[in-house]
Amino acid sequence: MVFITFSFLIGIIIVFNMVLNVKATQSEGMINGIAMNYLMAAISSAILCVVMVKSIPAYTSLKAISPAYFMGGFIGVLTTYLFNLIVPNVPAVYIVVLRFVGQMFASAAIDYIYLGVYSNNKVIGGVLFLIGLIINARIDNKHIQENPEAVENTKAC
Amino acid sequence: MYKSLTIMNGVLLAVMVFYNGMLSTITGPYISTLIFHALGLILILVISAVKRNKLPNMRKVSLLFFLPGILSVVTILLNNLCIPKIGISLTTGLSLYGQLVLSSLIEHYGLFGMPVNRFKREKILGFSVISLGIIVMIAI
Repeated sequence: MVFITFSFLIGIIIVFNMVLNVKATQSEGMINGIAMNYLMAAISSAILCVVMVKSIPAYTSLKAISPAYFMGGFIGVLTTYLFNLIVPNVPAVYIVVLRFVGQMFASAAIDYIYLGVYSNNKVIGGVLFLIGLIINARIDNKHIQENPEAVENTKAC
Repeated sequence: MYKSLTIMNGVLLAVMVFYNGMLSTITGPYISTLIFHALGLILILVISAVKRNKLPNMRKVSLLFFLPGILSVVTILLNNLCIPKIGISLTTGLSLYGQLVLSSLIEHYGLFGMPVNRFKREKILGFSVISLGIIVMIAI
């Protein structure tokens, strides 16, 4: 139950972060917004490492890690960059649905291929989640067509 | 083209979360978080140099804009804690659900200076189906 709460909390923090990042980008520009984000994150994680030094593994174990696993940091910047490119060109209602499709089904594939985890419930749950998103996206779409000035409002969020 | 880029964005997010999770199982959550952000910082500084971008004067930047970096660390740490226990799909599903709930609240009330976009009653059906999906996912 505690991990379920943590996972929900991740979503809450991500949205708070998005709002703050939008404000930082508006004020300082996109590259500077991302740079400040990563600078502060690198500093705070370095502090965390110093505080938790006892639970850090030996350097030798770090050398054995597959280089691919280090790509996460680069991919993080790439996704932020891509997202900024997509937002002005794809209606907001599609962004939520399409990103969900990519993220959820790639997650299920990774769970299955690499972690050997497969459950019908997760697939059924994922499909229900998608159906709900599509229902809401269609409602948003209908309102945008009836009220075109609402487009900018929807995009901003 | 941009629509397929949007799907690609989601796939990349899943791959990123997976790589971080795997790195974390080897190095522990703290070093993996540091590696993730240090490499990201290097890449964005390279992009900044290539694009001849002028970095801001840190003393003049609002303190509030430094908060996302700290929150990113908290997010990655929580991800790295949850993924080995409940898998990526459920962690991602619940996190997306949290995003949906908070962003709907922000839109409805126009919080944080965001434009107001009232919650439409017709959306209750969609939200119920989404909530049912999450309940099915949890009840493994």
